[in-house]
Amino acid sequence: MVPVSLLLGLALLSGDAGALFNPGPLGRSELPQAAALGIVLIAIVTVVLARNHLAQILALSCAEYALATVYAFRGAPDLALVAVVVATLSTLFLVALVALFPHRVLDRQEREPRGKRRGLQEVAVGVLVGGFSFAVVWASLSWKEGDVKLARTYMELAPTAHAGDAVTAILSDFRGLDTMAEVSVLIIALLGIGALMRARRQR
Amino acid sequence: VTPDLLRRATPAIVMPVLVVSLAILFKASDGVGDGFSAGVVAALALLFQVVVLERDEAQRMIAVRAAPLVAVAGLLIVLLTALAPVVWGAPLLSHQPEPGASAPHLGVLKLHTAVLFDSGIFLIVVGFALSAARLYTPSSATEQDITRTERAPPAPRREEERA
Repeated sequence: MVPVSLLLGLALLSGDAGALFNPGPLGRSELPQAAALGIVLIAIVTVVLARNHLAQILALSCAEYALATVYAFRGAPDLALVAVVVATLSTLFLVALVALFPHRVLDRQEREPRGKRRGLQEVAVGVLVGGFSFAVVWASLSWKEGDVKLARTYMELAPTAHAGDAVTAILSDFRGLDTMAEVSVLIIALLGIGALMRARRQR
Repeated sequence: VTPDLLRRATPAIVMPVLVVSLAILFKASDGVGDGFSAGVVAALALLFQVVVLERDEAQRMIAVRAAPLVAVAGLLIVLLTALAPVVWGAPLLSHQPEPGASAPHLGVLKLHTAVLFDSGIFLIVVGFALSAARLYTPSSATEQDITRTERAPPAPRREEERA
């Protein structure tokens, strides 16, 4: 994370920063998005402050659902659908993971005093990575309509791949090789986990 | 112990959700959705059944037992659709029929290889999620393992006393 942040930071600082960081005024139609982002913020703070594991997981899924709402408002229904189903699945798996631990371990961990002392290094890394992520997101918010030529090209080319929907065309055709490699990695990970579990069971 | 009502309601919930997931998969080329989200929706329906059933029954569910096979079958479908065009000299992943040519269709379902590719991804996601579910519902042997390793370290007692 640190090298990526440093490189991105250099790129941002060397470019014409003035135009990049001007997202324009907040329109009335963007108020629902702002409200949803507010919910995300509240949920994330809850995740950090809560002591109960279940409360943390539920707050995290709340943040994910609110983010999915934002995607829907931004005109990305495919992404919103994926975000919703993945949020549901990950919540289920996180709860199942916590349920695997014995009650005593969970109770003990919840009652442990919160670590007060943070090393300088942790703070520095947090500020660096957080700051530059913020800068990148801020810059992407100030893109103008005309800047997204690639998106328009994809939309125009989608029908040549038998698809009326650009996202489907990208996944199965334009960047199909990418998808193929990703699912292969998924299967390899599954095989690895299975092998680990079997080794553990035999021990 | 699972409430009886929930068990009886399960098929009425699982089957429609599976149908919806197939709809997301096959209508993906003209609207919202793709193989991945359709797979997650189907996996959620089957996982609902896993949660409702008792542990032993869930282990015996055909979808849970066959899950790794389903995932590998999906990978084979994806690899075959991706690599087969190379055999007759076309670039990787050139889907049949040609762009612009009309594909045979079954209602709204257009039969071309991009849909086959998406179906492979659907199978991989379903198989992966259900295999993970199998890891989460361990047999009684692994459960004993966990409690045994947990009993060992009585270290952080001191911190509790201080608090």
